[in-house]
Amino acid sequence: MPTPVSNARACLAAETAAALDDAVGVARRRAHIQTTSLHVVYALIISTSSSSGGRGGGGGGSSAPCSILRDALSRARSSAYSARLQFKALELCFGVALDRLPSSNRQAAEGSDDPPVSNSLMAAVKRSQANQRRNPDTFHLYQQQQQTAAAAGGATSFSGVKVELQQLVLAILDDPVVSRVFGDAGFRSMDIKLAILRPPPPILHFPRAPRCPPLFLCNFSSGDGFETALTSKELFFPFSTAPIGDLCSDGGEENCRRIGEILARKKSGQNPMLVGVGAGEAAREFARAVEQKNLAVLPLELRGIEFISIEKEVAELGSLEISTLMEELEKKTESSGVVLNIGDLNRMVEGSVKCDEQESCLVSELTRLLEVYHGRLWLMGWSTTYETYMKFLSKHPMLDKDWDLQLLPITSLSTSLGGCMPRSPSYASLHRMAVLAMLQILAYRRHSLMESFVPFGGFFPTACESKSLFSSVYQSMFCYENCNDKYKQEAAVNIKDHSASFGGQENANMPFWLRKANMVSLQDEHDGAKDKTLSGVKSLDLQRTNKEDCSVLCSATIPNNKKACTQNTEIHDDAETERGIDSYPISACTQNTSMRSKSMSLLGNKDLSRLQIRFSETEQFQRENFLSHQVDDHASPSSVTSIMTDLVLGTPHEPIYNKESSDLQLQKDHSKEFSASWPPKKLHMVKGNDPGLRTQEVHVEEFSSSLPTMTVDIVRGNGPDLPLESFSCSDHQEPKSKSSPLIVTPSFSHISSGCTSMDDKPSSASPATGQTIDIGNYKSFCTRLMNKLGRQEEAISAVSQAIIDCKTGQRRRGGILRGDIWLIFGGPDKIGKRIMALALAEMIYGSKENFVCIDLSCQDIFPCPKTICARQNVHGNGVHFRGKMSVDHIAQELSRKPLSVIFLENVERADLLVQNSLCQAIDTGKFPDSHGRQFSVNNSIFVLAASSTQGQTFFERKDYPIFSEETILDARCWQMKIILQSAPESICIPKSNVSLSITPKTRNDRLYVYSPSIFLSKRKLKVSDGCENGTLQSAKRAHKTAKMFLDLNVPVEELEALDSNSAGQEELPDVEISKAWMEDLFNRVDRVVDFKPFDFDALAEIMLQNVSKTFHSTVGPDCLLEIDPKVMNELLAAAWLLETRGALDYWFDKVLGKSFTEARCTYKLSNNSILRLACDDVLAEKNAPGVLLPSTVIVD
Amino acid sequence: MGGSSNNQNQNQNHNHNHNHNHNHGGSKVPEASSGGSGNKLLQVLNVRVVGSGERVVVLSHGFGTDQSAWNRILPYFQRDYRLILYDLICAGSVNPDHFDFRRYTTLDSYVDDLLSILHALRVDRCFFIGHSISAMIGIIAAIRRPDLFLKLILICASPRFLNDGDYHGGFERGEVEKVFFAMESNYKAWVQGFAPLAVGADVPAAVQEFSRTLFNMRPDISLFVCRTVFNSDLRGVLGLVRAPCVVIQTAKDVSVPLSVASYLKVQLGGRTTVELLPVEGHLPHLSAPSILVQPLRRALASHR
Repeated sequence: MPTPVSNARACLAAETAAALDDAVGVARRRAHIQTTSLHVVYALIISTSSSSGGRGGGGGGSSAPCSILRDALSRARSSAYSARLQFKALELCFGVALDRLPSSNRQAAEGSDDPPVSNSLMAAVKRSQANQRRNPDTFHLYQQQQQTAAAAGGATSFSGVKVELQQLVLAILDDPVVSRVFGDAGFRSMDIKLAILRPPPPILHFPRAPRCPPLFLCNFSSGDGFETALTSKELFFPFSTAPIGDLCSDGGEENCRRIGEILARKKSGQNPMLVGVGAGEAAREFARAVEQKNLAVLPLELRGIEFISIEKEVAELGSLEISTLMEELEKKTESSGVVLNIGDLNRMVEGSVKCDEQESCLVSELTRLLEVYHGRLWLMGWSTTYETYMKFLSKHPMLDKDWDLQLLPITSLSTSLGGCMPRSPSYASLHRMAVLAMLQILAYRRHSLMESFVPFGGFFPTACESKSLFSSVYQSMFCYENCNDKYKQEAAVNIKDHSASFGGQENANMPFWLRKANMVSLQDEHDGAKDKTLSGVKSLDLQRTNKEDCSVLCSATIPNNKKACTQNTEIHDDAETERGIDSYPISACTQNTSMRSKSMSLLGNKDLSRLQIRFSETEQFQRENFLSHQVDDHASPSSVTSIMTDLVLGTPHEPIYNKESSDLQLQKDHSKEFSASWPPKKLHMVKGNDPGLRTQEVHVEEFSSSLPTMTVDIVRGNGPDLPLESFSCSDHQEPKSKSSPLIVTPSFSHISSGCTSMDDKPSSASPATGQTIDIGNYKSFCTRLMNKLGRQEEAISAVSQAIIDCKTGQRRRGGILRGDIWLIFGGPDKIGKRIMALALAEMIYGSKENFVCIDLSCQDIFPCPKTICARQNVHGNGVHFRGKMSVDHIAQELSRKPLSVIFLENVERADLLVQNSLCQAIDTGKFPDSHGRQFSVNNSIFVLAASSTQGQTFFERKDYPIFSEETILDARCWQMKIILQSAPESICIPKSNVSLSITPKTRNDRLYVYSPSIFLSKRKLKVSDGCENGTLQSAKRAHKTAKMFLDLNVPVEELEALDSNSAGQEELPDVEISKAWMEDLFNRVDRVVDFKPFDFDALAEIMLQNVSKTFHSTVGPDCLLEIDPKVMNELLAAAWLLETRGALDYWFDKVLGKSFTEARCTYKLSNNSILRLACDDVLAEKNAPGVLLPSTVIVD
Repeated sequence: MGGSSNNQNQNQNHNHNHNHNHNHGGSKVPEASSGGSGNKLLQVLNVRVVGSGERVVVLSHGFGTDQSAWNRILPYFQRDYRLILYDLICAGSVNPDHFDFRRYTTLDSYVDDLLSILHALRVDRCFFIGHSISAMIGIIAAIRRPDLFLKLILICASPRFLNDGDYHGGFERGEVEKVFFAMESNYKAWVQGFAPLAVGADVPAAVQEFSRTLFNMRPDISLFVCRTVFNSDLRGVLGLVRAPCVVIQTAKDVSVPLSVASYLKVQLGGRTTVELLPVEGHLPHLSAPSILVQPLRRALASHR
C-alpha cells in the first residue's frame, strides 16, 4: 500500500520534505501513480542542475541541501567525460527511467491528490530513520533536532526521527532501481555513497573516492588558464614545495622495528640473525636506535637495554682476550639487558686456522652466557649473504638452536634514494595533472579509448533518442496529452540551462554546436526544439525539425568524410492522430568503413508494457546509432552488444505477421551483433497497419558498402492510409544482382538468415533471385572454387555440397533458422585451406574483406611473423588485437564483420576459452567473449582448420616427399645470392654435357633430378648414382639434413639455453582435454572436409624447370647451377601461396634473370663453372611485387 | 577472524569486474593496521576469491597495476583453481587513506599484508603468482613462511634493480636518482614516457590499461613505492627460499635485464626453472596474456 504524501512528510526534516515535494511534483507532472525513489533523485538532480532555481516548492535558499547529491556526483563520477556531459546523461537516464513507470489513468492524474509515496521509497525513509537513530555520526544531528523540537514544545517521540536529506539519499542509493539507472549513466552508487559520506575537506584536499580522481579537466574551463599551465613547461609537481616531513622512504626504521620485535619475543627464536645486502646497515641502524632510545622503534620490553658491539673484537679474533671480554659482558648484563652484536659473520667464517680455535672458544663462551642470562642477554649478528650464514652454521652445527637464532631477511637498504618524501602533497592537483597527462597519452588512440569506456556505451545523450521517446511510447492515445504537458514542463526546466533562444530558426543555432561538436548542447537544443514544437506546432513540424537535426548531426559529427551520406527514413503514421512516428537517421559513411550493420526490428503491440519494452529498444538503438556517429574515426562499439542482448521483442499479435515472427527472431539476433563495420547493412521495414491500433514496423534496410547507395525494402501491410516517405531503392538492387555477384551475395546471406521471407510482398524480389542462384548452381559453385584453388577437388566438392546443404536447410545440426555454417578443414595443405576459405568469403559474401583469418596457435607473438606462409595473413592480426585474448579477438571480428568467413587456423591449439566459446557458438548461435558478451554467429561461416582429420591423425603418404609441408611452412624470405663455386674439382660432375645439373634427366627420374642439386650444396659426391632406391634413400637423407640445416639457421634465442630444465616438455592435462574437445568438435560441425597433402615435389619440378629456363637463357648451357635447399624451400613456399603463377614468372624473369646476367658479367664464366643459388640468414628487406620473394638476388 | 569464511563467500559472489568491488560500507572507513582484523584488511585490499578448484593460487599484481591486471588471465584458471586476488596497499583501487607512509617503508609490510590475508582466508597451502614488486613480496613471504607456499611463480622478477658490481640490475643509481627527480619535477612527462616503455610491446590496449591503473595511484604514493622498490635488495636472502620457483621472463623488459633471470635461477634456494616468453615488455599479463597462460599452467600443473 502506498503511503499518503503527508504521512511520509511527517518523517522528514525540512530539507528532505522539500525534496520530497519536488519529487511528488515530478510524479504529478508525469501522471505517475506513485512517487518513487527515482522521482526523488530526479528532482534532486533537476533542481540542482537548473542554476536559476527552477524548483517550485523547494524555496529559495535551498541550494545547499540539494547540492549534497550534486557534490557527491561530481566527485564520484568517472573522469572520462566532462561533468556537464555526464550530468546531462544522468538526467536523461533518469528521465527515461521515469518514462518507463506506469502512468495513472487520466482521471486520477487530474485529481488534486498527489501521487502517494511508493513502498520502496517509504522503506528507504524507514531505513534512513533507523540508520540515523543508530549512527553515531548523525546522532548529534538527531539530538539537535530533538532539542529544537523540544524547544518548540512539540511532543517528539523517538520514532519521529526526522530524516535528514543525506540519510535519505544514502538510503535511496541502496535501491537497486536507482543504482541501475545511475549505472546506466556511468555512476556507481557505491561511489556516490562514499562521496556523500566523506564530504570534501576545505580547498582541494579532499580524499579520493576509490578509483575516481576527484578533479578533472572539465572542472577547469579553458578560460581560467589551466590549459596554458598544462602546455607550458613549468608544470611542476608540488613535491618540492610540499613540507618536507620526517618520513623517509628508507626502511631503516622498519628494519629496527622488526629486529626489536624479534628481541621482544617470548618464545624461541629471540636472537636475530640479519641476512641481506642491507643487513650490516640495519644492525648499525638498530644500534643507533638503541642509543638514542628511539621509542618509536623499540618495543616497550626493550626499554633501557644496552647495545654492545663486539664487532671490532671479532674482527681481530687472533688477539682477542676472550676471558676478559666475557667478564666485561657479564658485568654489564648484570646491570641491564644487553644486546650483543657479533657483527659480520663473514669475519668469523674467514678467519685463519689460529682464529678458528679462538672462534670456537668465543662461540662456546657466548653459548654459555646466553644460557645463563636468558632474558637479559640477546645476541645478534649479520651477514650479507645467506651463503655466509650457512658456512657459519656448518662450522658450528646446531648453533642456530643453541643460540636460538632467528633469521631475519633484510631486504631494504636504509640509504635512501632521492631524498625525502613529502608528507602531504596536494593530492588534488597531482591528480589533475596525472589524469591530464593520461588523456594526452591516450588522445591519439581515441578509438581504443572509446572502446574502453564501453560501459557507458549507452549513455551518450542523443538527439534521436528524445524523438524516439516521443514517437514510440507516447503514441498511445490516452497519455498523449499528459505527455505533452509533461514534456513542456521538463523541457522548460531543461531549457533554462541554455541561454540560447530557440524561438528562431534551428539553423541559426547550428553553427554553434557544430563548432563545438557538443552533444549536450545538441541535446538541449533538441529539447528546446521539442518544447517549441510541442507548445503548439504540429507534430509533423517536429518531425521535420528532428529530421533536420539528425541529418545535420550526422554530417557534423562526420565532418571528415567526404562521402558521408545521410539518410533519413521517416514513416508517418496517421498524422491526424499523431501516432506511429518512427524515424531512423542513418548515416552511412563509406569512406571510413565505420558503417555499422544493424537491423532493428520493432513490433508494436496493444499492450502498454510491451510498448515500454519496445521503447527501450528504440532508445538504445538510437543511442547506439548516435554513438557510431560520434566515433567517426572508426571505433567499433562492440560492447554495445551487451546492452542489446537484453532486448526483448514483443511478439506479434496479428496473424498476418506470423510469418515474420521467425524472421523477427532472427532479426533480433542480428540486431545484437553490433558491428561498426561493413558491407551489407540491413534495415528492413515491414509496415503493417492495424486500423485503430498501433502500427508495426519492421525495418530491414540494406546497404552495400561498395556503393554509397541505400536500399530500403519497404514491405507494406494492408494499410492504405500510410504515407510512406522513404527511399524505396529496391530497384537498385535487382539490376545489380544480375550483373555482378558482388551484390547478389548479400542477398544470398539474407536467405540464410531468413531475414526476408516475405515473398508475397511487392518489393522483396531480391531474396528470390538469391535463392535461385545458389541452389541451382552447385556445379558453378564448384567450378568457381576450383578456379580459385586449382587442386583438392574432393575437398571442393565436399565444401560446395556442405554449403548448399546448409543453405537449403538440410543441415546436419538442428536449427534451420540459423544461418551459420561450421566446417572443419582437416589434414594437410594449410595454404590450400586458407585459399579455399578466402574463396568462400569472396563467393558467398562478395568480397575478400569478408574474411577473417585468425591463427590460434600464435595468437600474440607479434612482431610480424617471419615465415613466408605466415606472412600472408599478417594483416588479420593487426595492432588492434595485440594483447587481446583469442576469444575476444574472434568476438570482435565477428562483431565487425558479421557476414564473413571466420577462418581459424590451428584450431586444435585453441585455448580453453576459445574451446568453450566455439562449442557454445555451435550450440546456441552466440559466441561469448571473455566478458560474457555474446555475439551472434548467425550469418557467419566458421571454417576451422585442423591438421588432424577425423579418425586418423595425419594423412599417410605412400611415397616419401622430398619437400614436406613442415619445412615449407618454416621457410622464410631470406635474401638470396648467387655465388661462384670456387673449387669444382672435388665434385664429380656426372656427364660431360651437363648444362644444368637439373635439367637433363627430368623426364626419367624426377627424384633424381633435383636431389643432385641438394647433394651438391651439401658437398656430397654421389651425384651420378642412378639407382632408384639409392636416390630415394639419399634423397630422404638429404631432406633430413636439409631440415637440420634449416633449423640450425633459425636464430636460436640465446636465452632459451638458459632455460635448460624448463618444464616445457611436460605433458599437460590440457592436451587430453584438447583431444577430447577436438573429437567432440568433429562430431558437431556441419561437415568435416579432409584435404590432401600438397604435392610439393611436383611443384618443385616446375620451379626447377623455370629456374633452368632462366638460367639457360641468361648464362648459357655450359654452366652448372646448384640450388640450396633453403632457397628451394623459399621458392616453394612463395609458389604455394600464389593463386596464379604470373607474379612468379615475373620474378624468374626480372629478378632472377637479371641477377644471372649480372653474374655472367661479373664472374666471366667459363665452361663447367658452377654457380650456386644460396641465401644468407638475413631476411630480405623488400619483396618483389606480388610474390613473397626478395626483390633482388645479390651477386656476390 | 570469526567471520572470515562468511566474507569469503561474499567475495566469491563478486563480479569479475573488480571495479565494482568496493567493500567499503558504512560511514566509517575501516582502518588498515598491521595487527588489525583480517576482515578489515580483506575489505581494504579488495580481496576476492574466485574460481572453483581445490588448489589455491594467490595472484599478486605489480607496481602501477591493480588486481584487474589479472583479468585476462583469470578465465584460464577459474575452472581448476581457487584464485585469491587482492590489491597491494599502494594500488590505485585501494583507498589512499590507508597508505601509511610510516609503515610501508619496506616490502616486509606488504608481506605482512599478504600473510594476513592468507591467514584470514585460512589458506594453509598455496601457489603464489607475483609480478614485479609482488614477486619480491612473494620471495620474502616464502622465506618467512616456507610452509605456506607450494611454489612461487615470479613474473618479471628482480631481486635488485640497481647495478652493483658484477650484478646487473638494469639501473644505475644515478639514473634512478634522475628518474626520481624527473618524477618530482615533471610527473606528466615521466608518466607519458613510462607506460608505453613498461608495456614494451606495441599493444595499445595494454598501454591504455596500464596507464589507467598507473594513474589511479596517487602520485606521491607511487613515488614512495618506487623508492621502496629501488631500496630493496633481496640478493642476500634468495638462498633462503625453499619453495620451488618458476621465473617467467620476457625477452625484453625495460625493468629487468635477462641476466637477472639467470641470476635468480642460480641464487634462489629452491628448485628453480626459468621460462622465457617470446614477447616483449614488463607486463606480459596485459600485453600477451595467452602466451603467459601456457607457462603459468605448466607451472601450476607440474607441481609434484
